[in-house]
Amino acid sequence: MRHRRLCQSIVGVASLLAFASVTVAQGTRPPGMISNWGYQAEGPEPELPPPSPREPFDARDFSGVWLTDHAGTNGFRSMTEEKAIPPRTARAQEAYLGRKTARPHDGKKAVEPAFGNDPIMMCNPKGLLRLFMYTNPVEFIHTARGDRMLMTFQSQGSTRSIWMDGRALPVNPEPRWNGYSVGRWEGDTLVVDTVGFDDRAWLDQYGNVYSSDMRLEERWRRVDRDTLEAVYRIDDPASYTRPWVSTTKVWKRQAYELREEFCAPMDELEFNELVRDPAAGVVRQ
Amino acid sequence: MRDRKRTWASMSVAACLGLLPLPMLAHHGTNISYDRTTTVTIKGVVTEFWYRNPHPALFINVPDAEGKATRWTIEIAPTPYTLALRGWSKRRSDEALKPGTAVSVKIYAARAGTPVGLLQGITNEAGVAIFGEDPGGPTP
Repeated sequence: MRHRRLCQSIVGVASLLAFASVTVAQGTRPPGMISNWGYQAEGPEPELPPPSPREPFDARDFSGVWLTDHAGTNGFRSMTEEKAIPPRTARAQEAYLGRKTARPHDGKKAVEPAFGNDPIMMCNPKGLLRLFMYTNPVEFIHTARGDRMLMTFQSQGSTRSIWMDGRALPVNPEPRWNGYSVGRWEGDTLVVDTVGFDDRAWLDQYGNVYSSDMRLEERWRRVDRDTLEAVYRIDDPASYTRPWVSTTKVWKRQAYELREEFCAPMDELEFNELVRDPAAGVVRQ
Repeated sequence: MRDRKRTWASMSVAACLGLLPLPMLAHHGTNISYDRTTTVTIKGVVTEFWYRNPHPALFINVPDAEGKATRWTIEIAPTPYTLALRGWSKRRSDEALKPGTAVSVKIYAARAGTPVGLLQGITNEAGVAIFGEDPGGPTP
């Protein structure tokens, strides 16, 4: 009898411990969570479960870290291939030609970065849409109340809010680097409308332009557990004679934690002075 | 199973980040500042190393035939982000390139003729390739 009770106790404690260890394991590192702090500290390689496109997923839950490889634009990191850019207005063409960059592009000669005027070379905000035009991860966060989605970009540590509470877009908004965004669900497609842009930001690294009156529409869809697809459309009659619709951008889920990647002027300016500029023969004494 | 998971994880990150061999790109577009038709090898001693954004940089003293040293600046196209993904943490990189380390560095030299280069490869005295065989790659 005593022996049986002892056995029951042992089994009970063991079960409890097993349950606790599973709970702890799940609590500390659920699938997709990573184990080396976003490669910023020592630890084992991150793990993501093997791909299984048929695995059930919540099509309206974008939580997680995602990355796009910009396939489909023939190496041109922008909305579309270069040849698919709509005709620019005279104002936009003038602004575009005034943007000096190291990327030869559409009638513009490349200049060495030391002689360019790309605003991000002084840590100015990339702004939306340019934040989309890099191979840099972004994290979607849904607020607990469901009234807002956040997109945090690793690049520059920039965050945008997408208001999901049914509010209207602002009228005559003041310019913002990332604009002002409201979103809604059309079926399982997240539709995000954005207005109120700061037109000093470049659309991409080639110096493409937009005006502060641009309207941006994004359509995001989670097509399987590990894949988001997005299409961006800009309507900006002040800059383009017709809307510019992107190719379908594919974002893949990552077993990754965003690392801190602010653009610190003290680093950027020293890099420019001691590396970028001397490479072009510009040496300050 | 664990290996399978690990392989998938590595492949996923590698594929999405394009970590397979690719032409050197620097987000500052400094590629055009260098003569990318010729690789030059210089040997010297590390004086300073930056593991920081926007790009890491290495500074080495390179002696000439008379023993007079010229300070060379080496731009490193990967960022701390992409180096870390390859397993080159700050601590590991700092340790491998601490001041006083003798290195042999392959570069594309600046077209301007200044002592500046774009990194193609670093090996130490033991012949170990620091940052691996291909320090180039995409940048965010």
